[in-house]
Parts: sequence; structure tokens; C-alpha cells
Amino acid sequence: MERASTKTVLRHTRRLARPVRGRYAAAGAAVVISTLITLAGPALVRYAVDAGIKKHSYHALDVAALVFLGLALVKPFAVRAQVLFAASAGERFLDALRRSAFDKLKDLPLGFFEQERAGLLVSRLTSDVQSLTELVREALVEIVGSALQIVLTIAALLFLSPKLAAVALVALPILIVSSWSFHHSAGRVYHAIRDRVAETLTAVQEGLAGVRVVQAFRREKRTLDRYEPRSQAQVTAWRRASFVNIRLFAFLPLAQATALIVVLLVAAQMYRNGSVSIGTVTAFVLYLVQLFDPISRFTEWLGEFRQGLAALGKVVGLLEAPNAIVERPDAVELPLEGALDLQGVTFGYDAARPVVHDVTLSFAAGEHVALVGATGAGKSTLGKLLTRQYDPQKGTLRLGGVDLRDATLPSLHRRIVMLPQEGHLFSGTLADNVRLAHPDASDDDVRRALRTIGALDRFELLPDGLETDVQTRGLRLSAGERQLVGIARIALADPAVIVLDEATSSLDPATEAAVESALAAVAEGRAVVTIAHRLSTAERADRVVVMEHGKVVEVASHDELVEQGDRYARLWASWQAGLAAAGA
Amino acid sequence: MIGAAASGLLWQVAAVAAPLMVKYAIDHGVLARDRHALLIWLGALFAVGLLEMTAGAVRHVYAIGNRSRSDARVRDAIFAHALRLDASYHDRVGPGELMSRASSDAEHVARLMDSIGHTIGYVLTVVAVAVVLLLIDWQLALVVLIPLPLISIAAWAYSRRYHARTERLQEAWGEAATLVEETVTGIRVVKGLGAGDPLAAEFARRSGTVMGRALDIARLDALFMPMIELLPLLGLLAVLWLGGRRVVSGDLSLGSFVAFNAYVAMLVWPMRVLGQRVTTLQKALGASARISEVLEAEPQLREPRHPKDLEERTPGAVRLESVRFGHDGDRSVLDGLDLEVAAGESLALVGATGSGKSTVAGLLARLYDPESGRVLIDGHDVRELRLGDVRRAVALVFEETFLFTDTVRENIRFARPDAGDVDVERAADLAGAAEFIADLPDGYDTVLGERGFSLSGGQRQRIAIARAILADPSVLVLDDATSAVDATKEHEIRAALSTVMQGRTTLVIAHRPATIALADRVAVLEGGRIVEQGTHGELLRSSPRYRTLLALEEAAA
Repeated sequence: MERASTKTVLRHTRRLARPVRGRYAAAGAAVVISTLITLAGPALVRYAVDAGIKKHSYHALDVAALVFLGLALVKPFAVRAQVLFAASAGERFLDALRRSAFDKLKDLPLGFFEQERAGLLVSRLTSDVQSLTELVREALVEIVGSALQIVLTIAALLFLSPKLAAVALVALPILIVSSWSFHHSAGRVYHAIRDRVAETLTAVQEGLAGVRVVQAFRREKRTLDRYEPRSQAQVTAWRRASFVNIRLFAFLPLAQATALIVVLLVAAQMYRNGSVSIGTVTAFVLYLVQLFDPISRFTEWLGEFRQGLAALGKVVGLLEAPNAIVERPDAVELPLEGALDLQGVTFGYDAARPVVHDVTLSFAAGEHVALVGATGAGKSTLGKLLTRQYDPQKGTLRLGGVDLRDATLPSLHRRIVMLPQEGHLFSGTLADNVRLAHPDASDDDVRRALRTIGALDRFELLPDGLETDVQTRGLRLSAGERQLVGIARIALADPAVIVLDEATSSLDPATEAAVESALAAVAEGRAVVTIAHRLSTAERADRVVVMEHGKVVEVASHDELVEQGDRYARLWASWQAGLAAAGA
Repeated sequence: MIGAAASGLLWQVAAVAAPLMVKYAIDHGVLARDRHALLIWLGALFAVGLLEMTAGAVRHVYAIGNRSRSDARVRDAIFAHALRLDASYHDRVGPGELMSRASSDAEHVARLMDSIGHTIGYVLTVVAVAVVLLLIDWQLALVVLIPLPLISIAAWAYSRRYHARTERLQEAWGEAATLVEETVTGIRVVKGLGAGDPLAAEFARRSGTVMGRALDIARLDALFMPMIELLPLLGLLAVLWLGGRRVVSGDLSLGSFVAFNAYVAMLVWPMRVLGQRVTTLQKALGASARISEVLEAEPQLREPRHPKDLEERTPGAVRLESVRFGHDGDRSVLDGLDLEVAAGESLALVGATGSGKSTVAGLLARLYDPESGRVLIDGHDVRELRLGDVRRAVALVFEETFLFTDTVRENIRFARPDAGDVDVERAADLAGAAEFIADLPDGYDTVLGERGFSLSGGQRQRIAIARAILADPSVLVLDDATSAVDATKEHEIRAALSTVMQGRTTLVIAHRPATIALADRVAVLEGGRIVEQGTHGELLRSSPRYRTLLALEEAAA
């Protein structure tokens, strides 16, 4: 997964922030109001002193106090508006970011998941997004407030004495050098932190997902030993970042002292000449001292900004991962059923080395076909092409005459489904697991699907029936029961074509029989393409397709192929011999 | 912690001192037209600037250091503890949930550590300013300081709600993380079924919950923060009005009035920050409640206080005595089971799905403890032995093979890290894995995917068997460990299995008659008890139940 360029990050940020622009503007306005109130305070005090105290006027004092009271009562409302608008804008932005990251995740090709580890992806959608909270909720708004304060204070300085203001610029080189040196390294160190976070979480995820094996082989210590350097690396990465951070704001007091020293030296000279009053000098110095307060907050938030930018870059990197399967703008619904035709289909994960080579085949509606061949012959890859996990580099796949690439994705997912070997369960109830792809399905639909495959009675016997919590990874359901859940999902989906990656595991005969009859029930009246690992399955199919090195080498019924006495016949003979040897 | 507090304090002192240096430079240098004094005070100002810079830098490095170390400590503790928690805990709490606690919740606690140095500095500032104000004019000072206790009251009034709402927010994060983790690990099912859209809708719902709960907290902020902003302003107002009147009436000097103003203004920022710290603290408490929930979960399996020793090469006689066991107690899986396997003997355990065969396997390796009854290895109750010793003596091969992101070699070596390459390769050869490993791109150095994606189920199982062979245990438990190995290939490793089983106590859970036939004896498990025992041949002849179980009824009939 590449790190996204700043330009790309900004493009996505603009897109996601568009709906909350108004809220941000409102928060910005609230900040401006509360900043102005803050700045008005000293002005009122000066008025009270000059017009009230010095002239012994209670009236002026009362007026100043009354105005102050008025402003003090407005301020809480401005602060409240700022908090509410900024939080609402920021959280909506983060919500949109999380959702688009998940939307992206579900659309990425399988190959992506074979390369990226689960822990890293979880970290992108949780830890990285979460570390943006400060940036989107506070930093943006606070930067506006401090910037306003800086500008107004500088204006006051210029108003009081342009000459002294020019002298104060002596601090500028220090600020420029320190912020340049910060920004020079900030991107690197903050990206490093996000990387270390992802690595740590990946180690945690893997250790926990495999915790049973770890414990069974008492490798707790070794697992920790391998995790700890990563956890430590995260601490080190933060340490590096802290050393980069201090370049930014530690120099501020120095810059402030330098500016004050030079201003006072010049002011002393000017005062001796009589070209400046002591009142002006005092006011100038006070404003100069005040100026560094917003500058230091500004830089602090700038640091937060860089940190957020790094995290955002990581999430956007995920959003930008190439995604092969997209719906065309003019996509059409796939027909309810029809023949699945492959014409000259060629595909390789690396285009230069095709794994499936020039395959032309036709699966009739309702036909049961077995794909047979040695490991690496291209059966599984062909299965992935049939369900459009990938698009072929050459050739076309059509269902009922419609190219799969022209079909809307929802209709594609409804018509053609794949049943993988393992029956993965999500936490939740059994019924929820069955309706995984159809969350709107009613309880009756779920029961009907389970009854169709003959598994309703079995699952109703569970302690809470279909509402039984399957718990993490379904460790309480056996492999066979998990397969039954997978088949029930298919029955509920009611597709036209099923691509079945046959499970190789041997179940106990009773469960095996249940799984087989469930499969038979769900296969009824649908086209089924089985990636067959057992030739007994091929024997039962209407037709057998034999693959070798990515090519289709034989297509006919089992009997015909055995008759032919060629490749399939040899496979069959060796299967029979194997079974005999297995004593089954 | 001391370094953080000390540097925070120094920084605060320097920050407070700087304006004083400016004041002296103006009074004694500029106004007095004394160039010498001016230079001295400006020199002092520069020194204070340098101190502020250094102390500020040290303070920051300490703060970040504290934060990241605390983050790491919490994370390390959760991970280490989770690895100690037994299987029944992990049956309930998934990796996504624990990851969320180890990262997101840990972060909240870390934030608190980050702020400790600053906070101490701010508290001292408030105290110092309060003392100075009281010295200048105690009556006015009392009026000005009234907001301080009010802020504390407001803070405590709100803090509990922060605590509860943070817990709810973190819970929502945990649920979002769980869904991501489950979707990624089950991506094949998700893709095959086109379940991406409904899952995205579910994620959008959970993400929305996170947002809603974060905004619940923001609504507290929106009540609390304005209050914190208002109270110091009221203090300033009091100074302006009451103080101003006292100056006019001659009870207070103008200088003191100006000083009062300056000092009260110095309170604004620290009080604002201290108010925020209350929320930081409460959020950290909310998060740490979730962290403690993990850390305080007691492993059901406890190490005995005075463990007995188990010899390195114990013979491995196994006995289960009236063992009762039911997951969570809702259905009794084992109901007074008695089973005995002599040292060196092999026993096949046969039974229908759900009959509790895997439970027996888990009990032997002490992944669980029975609710009543005993599990004995060579006459010792496993609960009286060191957990490590039991698991060294008993190697368990699961049906579902978990491969770690590492080379094939390291995955096999998992059980015995000190094993040499030759031993690893011999084990792979025995497990019938050598051939396909040789065909992998980098042979034994090929890195396997997280879930062993690039290998077939049968290949993964053969690596797991190699793992167990290398472990060279006294008791070997094969829990459906060859189920995914192609029936036509299983005979290839059957010879290997019988070599491995030779003279080693072995419990085999299998369905294929040929594999079962490898065992010296067969026990049939039904209704939580052993209902029949004998050799494969005997049972085939005498037991219709056994023939039905193996689906050999017709063959035998």
C-alpha cells in the first residue's frame, strides 16, 4: 500500500469535507467572535484606567465594567457554538472517512488481502482515523483563532511604531529556520509513527488470532519476544518525533527574548533621543509579549496538523489502492438466468504469465459442471473469473448474453455467488450469519433457507435456536456446521450460478451426508461449477472440464471421458487406486 | 515523572520571570537612561529565554516519552495477559475487540500521562498567583478567587458523565474494529457471496454509533468549556469594577490594580487547561475501566502454587476420570467420561459431530479444565503440574491450522525453536510436506501469508503435523488433523503417522477408517461418555453403531 501524495490527500480531504463546510465556517465565525472578545479585554481595562480611575470617574468605570460584563456573557455562547459546530463537522468528516475506507476495503481484489495483513487494515480504519480527532475537531478552528490574534497584534504593533515593528522582525529568521527544519522532517517521523502503530497492531492481531496454537505449543514468551521490539519501536518513533517537534516550538522563547532585547535596545536609544514616549514603549512591549502566545499555540496546532496529515495520508493510501472491479456508468442488470459463456478468456495475476489461457466454454442454465485438474492447473483462478473477482486480460464472460463487466455489481452478486472452502462466521447470532449478504431477510426467509437445505432441525436444537450467538470465529460450531451455514447463505441468496470450491476436509459420515444433501438441495435448478478435489464429485456432474496448465484440455461427461482413455481416465484410475489404498 | 515535573516547573518559572525582566529593563534601563543596567537586564532576559527554551524542550521530550511509554505499557500488558488467558476467554472475546483496547483505550490513558508534567506546572502557577493576589489585597483577591472552587465543583459534576460516555464511545470503537477484523479475515466468504454492501451498511451503522457517542461527549464539552471560559472573565470583571472603585476611593494603588489585572490574566490559560485535564482524566478512567476488564480477567487455568515435576521424557500414560464438561454450562458436552490410554498406546476417538471429541483433545493439553473429574498424565492431575510442562508433554494438532507470517521453516520450528534445519526438514518429510515445500518459490524460506492463504487446506495441515512431529511430545493429539488432506494423498502420510505413533501415546480423532485403523484401539464417544471400546476390527464385527458412525453399514452388511 503506497503512501498517498499530499495532492491526493488534499483531493480526498476536500471531497469528504464538502458536506461539512458550513459547520466549519460557523465554528470559524464563533472562534473569531470569542477571539475578538478576548482581545477587547485589555482595551477595556485601558479605557477604565485612562477615563475612569485617572479621572476619578465612577461613571466611566461603570461603563467599562458593563461592556465587559456584556462581552463576558457573550463569550460562553461563542465557545459553545465553536465546540458544537467543530465537533459536529469533525466527527462527520471522520465518519465519512471511515465509511469510504470500508467501502474501499470491500471492493479491493482478493489479491490485496493476500498481501496485506489484517492487523494493518484494522489499524488504518481505527487507530489512524482516531488519531485525526484532534486535527479535525480542534486544530483547524484553533489555527484560525490564533492566526487572527497574530494578525491583529501585528497590526497594533505597526500602529504603535512602524520602526520598532521593523526591528522586531529580527526574530523572524529564527522562526523561519525552526519551522523549516520542523516541516523538513515532520512528514517522515509522523509517517514512521503510523507505520510502527500498524506493525504493532499486526503483531497483536496475529498473536490473538492464533492464540490457541501459541498456547498449545507454549510459545507465549516467544510471541511476546517478537512483539516487544515492535512495541518498543513505536516508543522510539514517538521519541524521534518529539525531537523534531522541539525544533518547532522550543525556539519560540528564544525568538521572543531576541525580539524583546533588540526592540528594547533600539527603544532605549529612541527614548533618549525623545523620538518615542515611554507609554508607547510599554504598550509596544506588552503587545510583543502577547504576540508570542498565539504564535506558540499556532505552532503547537501546526504540529498536530502534520501528525494528522500523516495519518490521513495512510488512510488515503488505502482509498487510492488500485481497484480492478468497478461498475460502469451505463451498467445493466444481469438477466435472471441464462447460459454462462466464456469466449477466449485469458488471465494472469501477472499479465505476462497467464494462469488461465484462452478458455472458451459454455455452462448451460441448470447444468452441473466439475472443474478437474492438478493443483496449479488454474481451476481456482477460473472460479474467481466466473464470479468476477478479477476481469480477464483477454476474452469475455457473459451471462445470458450480458458481459459481466457491463453488469451492475449488485445484480452480479445476486446472480453469481461463490462458496469458499472454509465457513467463516461473523460474531452475532446464527440467523444473522445466514442473512450475511441479505440483512433484510426475515426470520421466515432464514428458516426457509435452512429448511431447504435440511439443516433447520439441527440448528433449532441449539440452546437459543437460530438466535444462538455463534461467538468469535464460530469455534463452537463444527467445520461441517459452518459449511452448512455457508450453504444456507447461498440458499437465501437464490443465485443463478454457484461456483463451489469443494471442501477437502473429511467430516464424520453423518455430517458429510448432511452437507452433501444440503448442497444437492441448493444446486437444484441452478448452474453449478464445482472446483472438484474429489473425482466422486466429477462422476456425479453433468459434464467434466479437465484443465492443465491453464488450458481446457478435455470437456465431456464422466463416462465419455473415461471411455476416451486419455487424461481424465488416467486421473480417475489413480483416484480409484488411492481410494482402494485408503481402504474406504 | 520527576524529570517531567521539574522541567515543567522550570519552564513555568522562566515563562513567569520573562515579563519581570522586561519590566526591570524598562524601569532601570530605558526610563533611568542607564545603559549598563539595560544591558544587564536584557542579558538576564536572554538567559531566561534560554532557560525557557531548554526547559520547554526537555518538558516536551519527557511528556511524549511518558505518553508513548505508558501507551506501550498498557498495550504490552493487554497482549501479554491475553496470551495467558485460556481458550474459553478467547472463545468470547475476539482479536478485534482486544486490539481496540490495546490501541484506542491505551491511547486515552497515555494522553493523561502526557499531560502530567504540564498539569503540575499549571497547578503551581494557580497556587502561586493566588498567594500573590492575597498578599496584595486579600479582600479583592477573595472575590476574584471565588471562581476557582466553582470550577472545581463544575468539573466534578461533569466528570462522572465523561467517564460513562467515554466508556460507551470506546465500546462502539471496539465493535467497529471487530467488524473490520472479521471482514478482512473472512474476505473470501464476503467476496464469494457479494456480502460487501450489506457489511458496508453495517459498518456505516457502527461508524455512525461511534460518531453519535463522540458527539454525546462533545455536548458535555459544550456545557463545560464555556463555563470554564466564563469564570476567569468574571474574575477579571471583579478586578476591573471593584478594584477600579477601590483605586478611585484611594484604598488600592494604581500599581497594585495593574498588577492584579496582569496576574488574573495569567490565570486564564492555566484554568482553561486544568478544566480540560479533568475531562482528560475522566476519559482515561473510562478507558482504563475497559483495560482493567481485560487485565483482571482471571485465567481459568491457574498454575499450581507448589507444582509437581513432570519428567522431560515422561512415558505419557493418560487417564480421564469421571470428567464433566460443558461450554458455559449450557449443554453438557462430557458427562462423566472415563478414558484410559496406556503409555505408548494409540487410541482413535470416534463419534458424531458435537459429541465432544475436540473437547477431550483440549482437556488433555489443558486448554480447558474439567468442571469435575480429573485428567491425569502418568498419575499426576494436570492441575498439579506446571502448565508449560503439560503442554510440552502433550502436542495438539488442530483441524484448523494457523500459520504465522513467517517462513515455512519457522512455522514448523514453532514448537521447538532450537531445532536444526535438518530436524525441520526431516519432520516435514515425515509429514509428507517435503515435496510441495520444495516446489514453493523459496522452498523452506518461503514466507507464508497471514492465514496461510497461499497453501491449500491439506498442505497447511501437513505443516501442522510436521510442527507436532518436531515437538517430539510424549502424548500426541491429532484432532481431525488430516481431514483436509486429500483422501488419495492421505495414504502417503499414513506411513509417516504410523512411524510417529510408534511407541508414543497418541489420541487420533479421525473419520477415515484407514486412519482409524492405524490406532491400537478405538473408543466410541456418545452422549458425553465412552460407550464402546475395542480394536477397529473387533468393533467392525461386533458393533452396528460403529459401522453406522463410519457409514460402513452397507459395506459390512
